[in-house]
Amino acid sequence: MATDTSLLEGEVSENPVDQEVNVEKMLFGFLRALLEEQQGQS
Amino acid sequence: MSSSHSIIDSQKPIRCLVVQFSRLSDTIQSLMALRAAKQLYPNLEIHFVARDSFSAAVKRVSWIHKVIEFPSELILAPVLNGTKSERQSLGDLARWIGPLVKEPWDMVINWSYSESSSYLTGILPARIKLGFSRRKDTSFCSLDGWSHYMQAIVQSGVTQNIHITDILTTQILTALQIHFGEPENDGNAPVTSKSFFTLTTKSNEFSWHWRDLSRKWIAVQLDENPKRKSWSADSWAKFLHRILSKSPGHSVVLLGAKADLKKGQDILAILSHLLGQDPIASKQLLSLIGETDFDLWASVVSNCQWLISSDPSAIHLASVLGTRVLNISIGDSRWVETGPYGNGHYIVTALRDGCDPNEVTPEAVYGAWTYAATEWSHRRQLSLEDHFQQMGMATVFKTARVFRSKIRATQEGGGVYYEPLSSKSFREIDWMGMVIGHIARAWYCGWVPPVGQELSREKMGPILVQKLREIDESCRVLAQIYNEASLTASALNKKSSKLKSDKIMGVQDRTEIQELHMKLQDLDALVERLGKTQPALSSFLNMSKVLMHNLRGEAMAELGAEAAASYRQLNEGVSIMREWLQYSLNLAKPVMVPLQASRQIRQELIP
Repeated sequence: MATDTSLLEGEVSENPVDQEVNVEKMLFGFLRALLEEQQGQS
Repeated sequence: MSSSHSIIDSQKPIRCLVVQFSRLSDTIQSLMALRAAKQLYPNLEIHFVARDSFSAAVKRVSWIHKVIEFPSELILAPVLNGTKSERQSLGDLARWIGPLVKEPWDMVINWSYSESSSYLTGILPARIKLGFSRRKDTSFCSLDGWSHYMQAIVQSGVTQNIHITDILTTQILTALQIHFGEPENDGNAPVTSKSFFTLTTKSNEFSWHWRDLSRKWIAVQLDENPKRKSWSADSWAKFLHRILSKSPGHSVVLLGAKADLKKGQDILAILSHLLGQDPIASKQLLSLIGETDFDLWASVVSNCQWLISSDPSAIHLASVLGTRVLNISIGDSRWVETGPYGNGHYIVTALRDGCDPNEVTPEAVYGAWTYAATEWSHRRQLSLEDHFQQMGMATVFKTARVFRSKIRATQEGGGVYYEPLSSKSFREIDWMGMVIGHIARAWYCGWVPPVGQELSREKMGPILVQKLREIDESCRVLAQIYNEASLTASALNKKSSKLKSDKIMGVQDRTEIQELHMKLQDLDALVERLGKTQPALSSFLNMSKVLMHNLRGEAMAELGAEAAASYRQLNEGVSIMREWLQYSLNLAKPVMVPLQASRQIRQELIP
C-alpha cells in the first residue's frame, strides 16, 4: 500500500517568520491550559 | 519514500526543538526516539523543552544540544495561590518564550500531546511542525498522521499494539526522510546502552558504592502514586522473601521517592518477620528509598541485573540503560504501549485488564522471574507452564498472563512486540490491538507484515470467533458507508471546483451542494450509530472525527477533495480489518486430524 506522504510531512511553512499569529491570545490559551493541567494533577 | 521535498541543505545543522511537557517516563521515551534519529541524522541539533522537575534526565544526555527548562512552579504557583493575576503571569510566560521565537526552527516536534503544549507549538516559528498545534484562530489541530493516530486512537483508549517509543521514532524518522533525504547509514545501532546518560555520583557518600559486588543485585522500585494502583507492602514482602530465601547469590536494593518511605518501612518489617532476621543487617537488602537523585538512581538501575517494578519512569529508565525489566502490570497500565522497551523484558499481569493489585500474586511474579532469570540454562526449550508445574505452582500459572518482549526484525514490521508465554486464548481486545496496529502501519509506514503473523489456531477460542463474526457483519456495512462518503465528497469537490465563488452561486448549484452536504452528514451519523452499536469499530468513528476536524483546505473544493481522501483512508483501514476477519475465521475452522495422530489414539484404547 502506497503511503500518502502529505499525511506524514507535518505542517510545512516556507516563511515561518511571516506567519500571522495572535501571540497574546495564544499566550493566554497556553497559560490557562497549563493552569488547568496543573490543577488536574494536584 | 521520496526525498524530493528536501527544503534544507542536509549538510547544515538541522535545528530541531522538541517539546516534552509530560512526565519523566514520556521524557525518556522521547530520548529513545531522538537517539535513533540522531544516529541516522548526525547533523540534527536537538533543543529539548522539559518541565524543570523532569529535566534532570535530559541534562545528562551528551548529544542533546540544549535543555530549555520550563519553570512550572515559578510561573504557575503565583496564579494558583492568588499572589499574581493571569495577566501579570502572562509577562513571565512571554519572557520565557522570548528566546524560543527569536529565529525560526527547522523543525518543532510537540511530543507532549497536550492542550497546553499545542498553544506553545502554535506560537513557535518553524519550517516543519509535528504534533498538536493551534491554527491562526487558536483552534486546535493535529499536524500529521501519527498525531491523528495519537489523538483518535491512543488518547481515546482504543486498544492498539504499537509502542509509543516506536510511534515517536517512526514519526520523526519519516519526517526527516521526507524533508532532509535518506540518512547516511543503515541505522542498525542499538538505542539503549549503559552509557546513555553521563552520570556523576559521589563514590564515598552512598552505601550503594560499598555493596557486595559478588552478589547479583535486583532493583525494586516502589511506586506510591495516589493516582495509580500499586502492590501492597505485604505483596512486596512476600515476593522479596521468596527471592532472598530461595535464590542464593541475589540481593535487593529498594528504590523509591520520599513518598515511598512509609511503604518501605512496612515492607522491611514484614520481611524481617518472614525471614526471621533483619535483611539489611544480613546485607541481603539495601534501602535507598528517598536518597537518590537522578544520577545515583540511574547508576543503581544501570548496575543491577534486574529492575522489578510497576513504575513507568523506572521501567523506561531501565530499558534505556539495557537493564532487564520485570514489569508488574496492575490497574489501568497500558503496557503494550508503554511497557519495557527492548529484548528479553517480562510483563506479569492478571487475567483481566484493569485488575486490582492483589490479582497479581507474589507467587506468579516470582515464578515468572525465576523462569526469566534462568533462560541461560533452559534456553526457553522449557515452557513457562512446565516451569510453574516443576515449581509446584501449576494453579498459580492459571491466574496470570506473562509476556516477553522482543524487537521484531525489520522484515516482520519492526518495533517491540510482547510475546505471550501463557497458553490463554486471544481475547477480542488482543485481536483488535493487532488489527489497529496493522492498519496504522499501512497508513503511515507504507509497508506491513503479512496479515495474522502473530495469530495461532490454538489461541482462537469460540468466544472470540463468535465476536469476530459479529464484527464481520458490521464491517461490511461500514465499508459501504465509507465508499459512499468518498464518492459524495468527490462529487462535492467536482461540483464546487466549477464554481467561481463558494458564496455566490445559482439556486440550482446551491441546492445540489446542500444535498451533497446533507448526504455526508447522514453518512457520518450512520458511522456514529454503527460505532455505538459495535464498539469494535469505535476506532474508525474516532478517526473519522479527527480527520474531518483536521482538514486543511479553505475553499469548498479543497475541503471536498481532502474529505474524499480521508474517507478513502478510512475505507482502506476497514478493508484491512476485513482481511484480518477473513484470515482469523478461516484459521479457526476445524481441520482434519492427521492419520498418524488418530492411529496413536486407537492404539492407546486397546487394553
